[in-house]
Amino acid sequence: MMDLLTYLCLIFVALGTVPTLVSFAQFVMVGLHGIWNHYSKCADYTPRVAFVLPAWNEAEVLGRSIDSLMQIDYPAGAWRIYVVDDASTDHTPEVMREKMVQYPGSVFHLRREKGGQGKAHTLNHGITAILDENWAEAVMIMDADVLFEPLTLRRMTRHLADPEIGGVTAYVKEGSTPDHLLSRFIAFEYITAQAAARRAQNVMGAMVCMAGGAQLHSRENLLAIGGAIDTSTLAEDTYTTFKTQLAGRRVVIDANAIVWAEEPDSIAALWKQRLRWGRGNLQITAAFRHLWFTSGRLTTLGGLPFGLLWFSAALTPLFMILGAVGLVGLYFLWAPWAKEAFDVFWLATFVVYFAETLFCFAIDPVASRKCWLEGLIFPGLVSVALMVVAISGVKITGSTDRLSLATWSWGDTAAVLILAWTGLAAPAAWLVYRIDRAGAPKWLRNALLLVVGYGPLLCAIAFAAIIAQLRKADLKWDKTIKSGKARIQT
Amino acid sequence: MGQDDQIGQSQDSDLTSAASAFARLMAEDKRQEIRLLWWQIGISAVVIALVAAYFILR
Repeated sequence: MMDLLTYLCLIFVALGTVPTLVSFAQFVMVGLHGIWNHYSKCADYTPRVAFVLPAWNEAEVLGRSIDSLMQIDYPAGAWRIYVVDDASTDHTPEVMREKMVQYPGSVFHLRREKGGQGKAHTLNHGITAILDENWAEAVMIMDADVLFEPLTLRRMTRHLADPEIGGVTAYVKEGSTPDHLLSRFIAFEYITAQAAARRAQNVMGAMVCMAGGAQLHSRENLLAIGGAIDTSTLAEDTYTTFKTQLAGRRVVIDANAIVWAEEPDSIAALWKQRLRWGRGNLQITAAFRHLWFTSGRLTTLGGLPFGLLWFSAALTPLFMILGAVGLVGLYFLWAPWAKEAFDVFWLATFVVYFAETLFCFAIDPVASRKCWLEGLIFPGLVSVALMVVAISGVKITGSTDRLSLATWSWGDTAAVLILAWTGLAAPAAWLVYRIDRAGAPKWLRNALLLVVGYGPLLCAIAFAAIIAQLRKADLKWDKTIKSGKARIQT
Repeated sequence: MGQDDQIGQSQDSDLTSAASAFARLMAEDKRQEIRLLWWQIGISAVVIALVAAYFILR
């Protein structure tokens, strides 16, 4: 019986490394993008593009976004901006009147008199109007606060020269000015999650998600997926990405095409945004349940590599808890094995963390100059310290091989806490969120975030999303408030 | 040389400059992807060397 439990614990520890190993496999594919990319099928193609900007009370950011769009490097008259005003109650209509006078024939204001149904409904109002006309050959779905670099649209449209491509997304960068600790963490996260991971997905041949901030669709693709964005989930961008690929067209990222956006400036706001994303992804997991781990026609989108990628991200908190249970279980069953398993677990984590962090610095050296420290402490100071413990070979387990309560010491308590950290990090991150929400001073929030880590915070949000879905908590579309702090940075 | 010829030449030169701008953009982006491949090879080599050294010296 004891042997069986020991093996079970070892299996749990192995499962705890799944997100790390999948992340490493993805990392290996990023470099291959130098060989397997879509550039060979690109051409100098500049279709007429309609930008759709959903806007609800975006007066603070809209003017700057429109100005940035009107300054792009693209053939004159080949792009138009449609702002879909979701019954805004601020000065959005006044801003729009001013911009329509400033850019006659290029900027259009589509107002919904009854709003509040969410981004997908707002987008559909604009997409329907655009598709009703014959002018647009491609449609760019974006957010109202997103700023385009001058060459971004050209870099994206060149992929549509290949009729196999239905959608193209860009690398969304965090552009809050002045920056702050959270924005720098997000900037580093976006290097890993977009510039790196999506290059790997280009190589795989299946994309998880086209960023909602910059999604370029060919007209044919939009029509093929029904001429509208799905309104049944909280992750309409991911749903559209899946639908595009299931309709037979490919989706790619051009990570050299860059747009800038403002991301949340408090943990509470980040929690709200990411909880929505997390719940949306779980809805998609259920909506496309027939797809997972299939073979044949859907091999690429739902096959084993894509399934592992999808579920290792969605279920990261569960893998982390299993890892912690395995290590602590081993400590009680046969302490020397706990130390061995701990070393292997954290050494593997260190190798992946070290390689990926260095590579992310190379992928986006400009952003990394600002967020290198946040990149280094992305997993949190505690986790970095545990990697050092594993490398240094420091003994963390007690002197006895098999523990009993009679010989329990403070050292054993410390050892259990260390072994259980992968499972404790997410609850600790949840506490940081609660402290932030309670209005704690920024310095305290920042200090705690550095100790616990941004990675565990994302893990905690993913866990909260799972709980919310299981509890069937109310689904509502909470908009992330933007204040116009994003700037194009060089 | 007639006015039509001049207009034709100007359009040709616009097209040529647009084509070369596009070619430059493509070359720049392809170079970036190749650069990343070399970076990854370099980083992987360093990591493998460090891991090997760790296990040898352990």
